[in-house]
Amino acid sequence: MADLRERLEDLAGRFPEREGMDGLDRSRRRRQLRSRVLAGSLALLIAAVGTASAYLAFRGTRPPVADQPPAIPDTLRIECDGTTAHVLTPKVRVRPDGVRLEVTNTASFETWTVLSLSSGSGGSPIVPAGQTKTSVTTQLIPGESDVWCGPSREDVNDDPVEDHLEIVDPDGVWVSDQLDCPSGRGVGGSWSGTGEPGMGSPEDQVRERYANKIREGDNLDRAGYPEADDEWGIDVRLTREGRVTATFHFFGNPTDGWYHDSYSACQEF
Amino acid sequence: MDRAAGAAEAPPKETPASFEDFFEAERHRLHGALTLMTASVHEAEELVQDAFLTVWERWDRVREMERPDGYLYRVAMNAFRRRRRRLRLDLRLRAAVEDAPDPFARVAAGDAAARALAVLPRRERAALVLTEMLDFDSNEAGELLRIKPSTVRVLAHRARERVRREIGDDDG
Repeated sequence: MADLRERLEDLAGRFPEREGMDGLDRSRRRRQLRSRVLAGSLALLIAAVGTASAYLAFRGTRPPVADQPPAIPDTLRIECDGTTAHVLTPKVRVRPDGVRLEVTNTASFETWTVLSLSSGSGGSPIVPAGQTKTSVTTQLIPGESDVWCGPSREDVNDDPVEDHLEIVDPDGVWVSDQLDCPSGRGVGGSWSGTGEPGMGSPEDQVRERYANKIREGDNLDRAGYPEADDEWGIDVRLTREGRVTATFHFFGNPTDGWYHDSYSACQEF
Repeated sequence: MDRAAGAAEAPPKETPASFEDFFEAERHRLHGALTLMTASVHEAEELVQDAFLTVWERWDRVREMERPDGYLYRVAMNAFRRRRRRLRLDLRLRAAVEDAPDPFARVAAGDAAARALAVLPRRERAALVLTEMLDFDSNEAGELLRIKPSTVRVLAHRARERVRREIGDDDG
């Protein structure tokens, strides 16, 4: 019988990787984009709940409230003691560039903090040990979220202690990129990047590349956070008859150009 | 194939000149190990990419560590464990990937060891690969898997016996 180790090593060597460093670089960009695209699935739910809530609120006998509740902070502050995340601002509002997250680590070791939306996780900065503070702007979308923190060198156990928070968007800053397909089905998701930046703005590239699919009356605009850093990429959405029918994802910057990376579309598109 | 030492026991390596060098030096072994642990090339590729992306983001600090490869494996194993409870982020893309047969399944069709691995419980596979192939001892493997060292030994023992039995049947 062959030596087990040799057998395992031989077996492990029979699965070559598809991509090298270039692929990893693309994945880094895609991961940023994907987290936003797919987080959009929550946005539809939030939009539906928000619409229903608004309808119910205004349908009732209570007079409409003209003013927003006072002073919802625009920075999500969390304190991590090494085992538990304490949310100091249980309700936070988005900013034009995303959700500002500030984590203070009071533990004597390095920690990280993970926010877990129902559509996926996001925002996991590592914070050095001992009363240190780290701030990042994330692309978390509005909605409710659980938050966990713990040692950076270990993983979440099976029964993590989690706190809860809510990200709100009273001014409608965040623009949904969630498909709203009449058929209920989306297609695409295949990456169509060419490795070269396209000509013109992302909207111009969409108009040119998908000219045979775009109809008169279709509207193109940007989705996501309007002032998000370029590193997150750009989502252009196509709205047809009031529905988000396709989204097109780009990365790059205005100087070097925009790379069309992927798209998602309703079957009807 | 070389019999490489486990990341935790080996002497400190030279600091990699760049992340690219580190990536090229480590990716094959990590990919192979994770493929066996997950019994899925597709899942292993995702885990490998996630692990390297995490290391890349923190490369300034990781490169100064005594064992950057040890940190890489820790990150990868965290992701491996966390995957059970992590929600799928991109169902559409995943569906497209899963429509294609996983290369691991094709290999398993003609390889007794792969077949045996494929039917092992996930933790048994991980314990076996960590201890048998990557040379982590049960304490180190237990730390990575967040289970007791004694549990690692039990899992690895059971996995080893089942795979050996399958290989023996195949060889015999």
